[in-house]
This record gives sequence, structure tokens and C-alpha cells, in this order.
Amino acid sequence: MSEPVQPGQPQTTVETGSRMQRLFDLRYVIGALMGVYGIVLVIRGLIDGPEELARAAGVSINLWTGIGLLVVAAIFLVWGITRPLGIDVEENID
Amino acid sequence: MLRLNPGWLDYTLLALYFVVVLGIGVVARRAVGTSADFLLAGRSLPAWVTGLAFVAANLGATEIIGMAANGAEYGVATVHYYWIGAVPAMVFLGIVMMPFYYRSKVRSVPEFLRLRFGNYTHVLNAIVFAVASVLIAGVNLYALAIVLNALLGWPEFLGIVVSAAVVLVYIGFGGLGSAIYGEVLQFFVILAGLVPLAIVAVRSVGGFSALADKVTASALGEEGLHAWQGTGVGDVTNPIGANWVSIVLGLGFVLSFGYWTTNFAEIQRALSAKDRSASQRTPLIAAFPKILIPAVTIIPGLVALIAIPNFGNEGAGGLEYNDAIPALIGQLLPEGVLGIALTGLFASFMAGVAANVSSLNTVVTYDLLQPYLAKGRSDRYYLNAGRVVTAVGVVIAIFTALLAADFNNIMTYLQSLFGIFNAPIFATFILGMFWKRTSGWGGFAGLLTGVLAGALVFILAEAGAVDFGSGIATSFYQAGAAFLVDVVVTVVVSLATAKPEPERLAGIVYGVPGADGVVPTLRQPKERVWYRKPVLLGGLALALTVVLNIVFA
Repeated sequence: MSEPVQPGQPQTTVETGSRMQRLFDLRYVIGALMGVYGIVLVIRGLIDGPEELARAAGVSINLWTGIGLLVVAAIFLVWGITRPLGIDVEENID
Repeated sequence: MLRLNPGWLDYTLLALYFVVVLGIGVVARRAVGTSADFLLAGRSLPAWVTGLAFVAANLGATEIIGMAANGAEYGVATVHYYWIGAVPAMVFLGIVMMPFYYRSKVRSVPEFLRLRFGNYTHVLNAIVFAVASVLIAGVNLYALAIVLNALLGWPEFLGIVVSAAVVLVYIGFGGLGSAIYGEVLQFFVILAGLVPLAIVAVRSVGGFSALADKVTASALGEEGLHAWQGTGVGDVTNPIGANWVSIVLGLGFVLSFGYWTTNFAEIQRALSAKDRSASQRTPLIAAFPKILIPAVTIIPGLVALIAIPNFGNEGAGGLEYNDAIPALIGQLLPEGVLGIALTGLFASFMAGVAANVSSLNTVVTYDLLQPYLAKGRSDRYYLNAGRVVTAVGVVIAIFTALLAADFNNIMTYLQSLFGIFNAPIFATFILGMFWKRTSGWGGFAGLLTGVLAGALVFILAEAGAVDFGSGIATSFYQAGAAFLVDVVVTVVVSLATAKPEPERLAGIVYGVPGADGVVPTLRQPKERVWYRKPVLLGGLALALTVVLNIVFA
């Protein structure tokens, strides 16, 4: 890639550029937070009584939200494990 | 009436979110070695990260709460703010303008103006942007404090300081990188709170068809369910109060293109992408969630309108429109999801503040300090300057928030004024990128007179000298005037002044080769897989928008 560089302006090099990504993979952070939220909500949903159900218009909303969050968490964790950083498909740019 | 009763579980979920966000900031600190790492995130991020950050940066709570309020006040026509007022401009940015921004290697939007038009236009734009960022961050903080006060009973001052401190810590440590990572996380937390709320809200009124029947019977009437019905010129009956011409040209063209294609808080996310193709895909990936977000803002607004007695009728002791989402959270969500929704509200406020602060520090450091006020210092100096500006910006935002508490109306006016500054700038950029003849003075004069024209329409409308029918219509006409005057003045002054020197054009204007011989064109990057082709992604987003507009016409 050869693009004009402004004089006097520091450009990042490849090493510093990918530091943020090498430190941690955001997919695991999303997967972990959504996963913990999901587990907590599923447990809370299983012990929800008639009071909680009535409040949410009869929807077992804790349980369903928890299941939804676990699905999102699973997608990100599986994505992170099957396509680890560093083997990204090379892209063609002009 | 709005007061929530969160349990210990809700507070635990909220606390967990704060721990994770602060953790990102602390870890990201190790990735910051140079000013470019801090202020530009090292241009290293994949497109899905920058794309979600792009949409989250605009998903501040003033946006979420405001759009739910619009949903209750104007009905389904609120979708215009998304489908007409955002998606076309985002697609245009991704396919047409992003290649120019990214290739020019600028570190900010004002810097592009400096390369192309010179210092006057640059300084004008950089200062306006910096002032606007701080004030808007302050308005966001104040809005957060009001919600915390109503929902949890926190004193306003405490709410402002605590949330500002969290933002300061994670951006002050990790800079743009942690702001962007935080925004992606916020995106998911916000939706994890809003999606269940919308589902329960619809169920609570008896499903979609019951919702539609009740909206038809409400003050909004039948047209509250339609985006385009009743928007005929001269015969506006739709609650949105504007005809289709001013919706398409004013909101869809001038206002939205001005915001989405030149607002640095947004463009910065795309500039931090790892290569040109990823930077182009940033707004295109963001367009898809943007198309669907009205489902979780407008629906709660409509439900609040029909389910809460006297909603929007403050005179009769009812809640105000802005209370739609907080009130439904309190009425419908049990412990557990309640905590997630509360966290989502917090996350959205912080997303708004973080986006403003992280773009402010870049503009002040790279556009005001480095070229003018403190030239030729070491990179270490600019890195530290970036951190100091972050802290100073947050402190000023706190004062702005406290000021807003006393002068709420002034803040509304200030925001309208920044709308005026935003409207003409798209004209200046598009002429600068595609018309070689646009001169430095042409760009400067066009931008300045465009702003003045917008301000004039605003003042005349406020003084009652002209009447466009509604506040929304006024802002459309005001933006339109600013845009037209900018185009005309830029063209006239450019033709009357000397041609720009070739080095002002090289590599950043359509068809003018750069020093490296590369000619900027609209040729799209070659990608092997379909989901990485910008034109295909943009076409899909537009097609989906057209279909939805027909369905909800």
C-alpha cells in the first residue's frame, strides 16, 4: 500500500498498530459479559414467581432474555475460537 | 412515579458492566505507546468493530430517549430519522467519501479541510467542532443525571460526577482504542436491555394488532401508523408535520448528509479501521443495525402513549414524552432484566459522552496544538497533551452539565446552533473532493456564509418573521438554506479567485494523482468474499430500506 504521508506527522507502524488487538480479543470480552449476564438471567428466570410474570405481561422475560444472551455469547466465543487473531484472510486493496 | 426499585441483583449486573469497561481501559493502556495509538487507535481495527462503534457512537441516550419520545409524539413517521435521515448518507459515506478520507491519511475531518482549503477553513471548523463536542458531552451528562435522579433518586450532581469519572478513566488510560472497544460492548448491552423491553411492551398491550388499533384510536390517529401518508405538499396531516419534499431534501439530504459524512465523532471510527476496505465497510456495516433500531425505540414510545394515562400531556399532570423508556422499564421489567435495561441506559449515556470526548482530544491535539499552538514538539508531548485535553474536556463537560441544569433552554438553543454549523459543511466537502476548481477562499467563504444563512433562517423563525409550520420543518428549511448558500458562494468565489495550487489537490481530489502517482477515483476495493464488497453491502442496506419504507408507507 503506497499512500501519501504527510510530512512531520507521525504514522503508526504495523507493530504499534496491532498492539491493541494483540492485547485482547474483543470477541472474548463480549462473549464473557453476555455469557455471565445470560447465566444470571436464566437462573433468575427459573426461580421467577407469579409476581414477576404478571409484571412482564405474562412473558417469562428473564428466562428468554437469558437464553438470547447465551446464544449471542456462544456465537462470539465460537467465532473467537475457530478464527483466532492473526490468521485473518488477506485483503486486496488498491 | 418513575422511581424504580432495583434489587441487589440489578445493582450487581450494573457494577459488573462498570468493572468490565474500566478493565478495558486499564488493559488498553498497555497498547498506548505513541500519540497515534492514543488518538487514532493505531489504525488497526477490523471492520465489524469500527462498524458497531460507528453506530454506538450515535446511540447515546439523548438519541434513544429522544427517539422514543418522537415515537410517542409523531408515531411511525419517526422512522424517517433512520431510513431517510441516516441510511442513504451512511451508504454514500462508505462508497463515495470514505476512500478520499482514508487515502488522504488525515487524522481528523478538520485536517482534510486544512489540506484542501488551508488554515482559515481549518481553524474555523476545528474550533467549532471542539466547542460543540464539549457542550454536547455536557448535555449528555446532564440528561443522564436527570434520568438517574428520576429512576434511582441519586442527586443530579452525584450522577454527573460518577459517570464523568468513569468515562475519564477508561478514555484517559486507553484513548480511542478503549473508547471504541467500550462502544462495541455498549452496543450489545443497550440492545440486551431494549429488545426485551420492546417485546414485553407489545405483549402488555395485547400484541401488534391491538397496539395498532389503540394507536389509531389515540391522538395520533390512523396516520400515526404511517411514515408517508398525509405528507402531501400543502396538505400535511401526518403527525410529523412536514411534507415529503422537506422530509426528503431537508432531513434526508441536507441534515443527514451533513451529520453522517462530516461529523468527526463518527468518521473517526471509520478512520481507525485497519485498511481502506475496512474503513469503507465501517458505515455500511453500521447501516444494518441502524435500519432495525427504530423497532426498539418507536415501539416503546407508542406503547407508552397508549398505556400510560395522560402521557405527553404535562398540563394534565401526565409524564413528558421523554419519560417513555424510563417509565416502561419501571412498569414492566422484573428484577434481572431490569438491571440489564438500567445498565443499557448507563451504557448509552456513556457512549455519547465517550464519543464526544475521544474526538475532542484528537481535534484539539492534532488540529489546534500541533499545527498552531505548540509546533514541532516530541510525540511524547502530544501524547500527554491528548491525555490532558481528555481530562480538561471532561471537567468542562461537567460544568456544562451543571450549567444546563440551570439554563435548560439555552442548551436547546446551543444544540440548534450546532445544527446550523453542521448543515453547510457537506457542500464544502463534496465540492472540495470532486471539483478541482474549488479554491481555498471559495471553501472558506462558502462555509462561513452557509453558516450565517442557516443562522438567519433560525433567528427569523424564532422571531416569528417566517413560519414553516412546525419546529421540524423549520430545521429542514434552515439546513436547506445553509446548504444552498454554501454551494452558490463557494462556486462564485472559487471562480473569482485564483486556481488552487496543484499541491492542494494532489491525491485528495477526484482524478488528481497524488505524489505517489495513485489517482483517487471511485474504483472499489477488490474483495473475494461477498460480505466484504462495499457496493454490495451498500446496495443491500438501501434495498432493505426501500422495502421497509413501502411496508410502512
